[in-house]
Amino acid sequence: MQYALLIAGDHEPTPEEMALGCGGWSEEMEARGVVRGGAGLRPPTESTTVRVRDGQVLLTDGPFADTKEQIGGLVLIECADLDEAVEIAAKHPAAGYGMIEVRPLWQS
Amino acid sequence: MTDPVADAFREEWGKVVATLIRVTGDWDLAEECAQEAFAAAVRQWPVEGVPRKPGAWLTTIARHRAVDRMRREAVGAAKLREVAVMSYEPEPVDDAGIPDDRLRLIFTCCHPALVFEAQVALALRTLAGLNMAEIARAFLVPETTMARRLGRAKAKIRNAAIPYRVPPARLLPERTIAVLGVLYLMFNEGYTSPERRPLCDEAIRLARLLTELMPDEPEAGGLLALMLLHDARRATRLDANGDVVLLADQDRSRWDAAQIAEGRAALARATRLDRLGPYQLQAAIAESHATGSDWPLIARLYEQLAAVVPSPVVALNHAAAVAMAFGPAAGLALLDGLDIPGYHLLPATRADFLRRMGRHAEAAVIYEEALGMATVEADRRFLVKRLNETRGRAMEPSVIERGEQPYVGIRRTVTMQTIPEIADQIPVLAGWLGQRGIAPAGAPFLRYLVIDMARELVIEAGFPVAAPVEGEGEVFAGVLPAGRYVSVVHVGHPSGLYGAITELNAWADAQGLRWDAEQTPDGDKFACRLENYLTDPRVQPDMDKWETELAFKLAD
Repeated sequence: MQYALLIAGDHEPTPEEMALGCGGWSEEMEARGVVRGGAGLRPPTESTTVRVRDGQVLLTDGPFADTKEQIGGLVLIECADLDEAVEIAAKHPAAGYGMIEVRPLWQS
Repeated sequence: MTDPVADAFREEWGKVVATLIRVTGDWDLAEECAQEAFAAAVRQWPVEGVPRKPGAWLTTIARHRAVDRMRREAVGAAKLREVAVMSYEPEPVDDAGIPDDRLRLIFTCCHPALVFEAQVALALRTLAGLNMAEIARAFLVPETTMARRLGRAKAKIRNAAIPYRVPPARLLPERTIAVLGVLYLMFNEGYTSPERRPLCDEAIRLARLLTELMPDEPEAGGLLALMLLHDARRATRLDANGDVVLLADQDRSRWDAAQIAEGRAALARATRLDRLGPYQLQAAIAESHATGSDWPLIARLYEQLAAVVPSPVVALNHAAAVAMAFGPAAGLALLDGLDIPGYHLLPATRADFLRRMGRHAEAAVIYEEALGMATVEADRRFLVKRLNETRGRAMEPSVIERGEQPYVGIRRTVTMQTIPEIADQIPVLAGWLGQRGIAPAGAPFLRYLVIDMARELVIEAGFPVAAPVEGEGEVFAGVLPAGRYVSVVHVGHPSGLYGAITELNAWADAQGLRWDAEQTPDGDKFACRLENYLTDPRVQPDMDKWETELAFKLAD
């Protein structure tokens, strides 16, 4: 099973949280062979949202979801089932100050 | 005459579905094939006789139906599943060493990644065999809503790969607690409203099953016992009008003796495993209630429970048990510092203690506060009844016992003409407390220390506080003395207090009671003579409707 871990928080990571980084998580998960890809995202204030309506390209300054929680990064993992995915997500340091959505991917 | 198919349905439905889910991996297919197997039983058993092993017969038929359907689908993935079903092996023993498919099903239905309603609905459908209409009725939602909810839950199990298994050892303790929690919530959903009663029966059935499947888990037995012991009293819990009947007033002859016996046996089995937990403790409390309420024991059990489950509601119940065992004053002391926002049982309990201590005027005020929070009609009726009783009693003079009461106050020497000067200090004090984030522990009062009507009076304005507070400037901290007081409530404009006091003096004389006071050259000095302004002027601006308690300390 493949899942996306969508890492979100209601604030930009503080310097302390930044310093935590992935706190050895990446190394452990790479070694376990469950990571399939991922990226950290720059702040949503630097984001641009694109829509095409009636052939017009419409741009909005900012992210598409106008909520307090914003996605700050994502990791693709492959593991046995939801229990394992939850265990992997719970180990990520960001789960301690933000939150992580575990979303299954369409299976090819 | 029992119907063998109906019996088999009750006994075997969950097993057949659980097994079919394991071998097909498809929840809908499993249910449909189980249904077809039971339909076949309805046709064949009356003719051919009931098979020796009805469960095995049903499972075999259901499995064949599954294979037929998959053949018809005849696509790649289905082919693979068909092979899996055909090579159907005896149930594998998984990590936890428990072979029953129904246990896998319970853990999967109660997976914490599903919302509570979906967990219960899944368990009711797959394990208990309730149909969609019955489940929808239990949740008081339209059938289509329930069908959608179940569909979404099954899709999530499939697409998010919620595993179909008993969790491995490292997850088992927390997930077992989650399963027990779902069953208990299911029970409570049914317990609070009579039309959802089937939820109680099903929760008990599932807990019974769980204790069979997990005989070494004492909390499963504890939960089963707890539900049985509560359920045994359901017939007497509400009266004909749907009003709450207190435990002490319930007709014990109408309690279900068989259920009580089963509950006690389940609890005894669980406690023999020697690993006490919150469900066993609550069951032990319920057991004591079912067998005559040994209050000192119940108080002790609540104390133990509070140690494992640090919750203010448990602390409240502990106080209630202590009050029954050792008197309302002991219970009242335990309520200090307890805060459960919006929970009407906290003020209702405090009011009950005060009522039992004879402090009717204070009780009435707090019953009113409880009434402001209660939403269930039966609870409200009970509180209104108590409010009217205590109000009525409060308007008759009575001798009450008051404990020491910390307060903050401002003192002034005034004349009969300048009394408003001291009364005006009440809002000042309220502001002073508000600035410091301190909540008053009761209604504001005027305390008359020295009275010489012709010349001067020494009066304090004050607010009771829960714990001693540091004074500042002209605001000082003090303590109202403990002792016997005469209390009466005057209803009406405070200008009528003069007449009320004259009547109270006459009453006290007639009873041979003497105030704790002495005559001095400065006037009459009172140890503690209070006018408690029970009515909040923001709530009731009409002064003709105000309630004022007179509380005068008696000489020892």
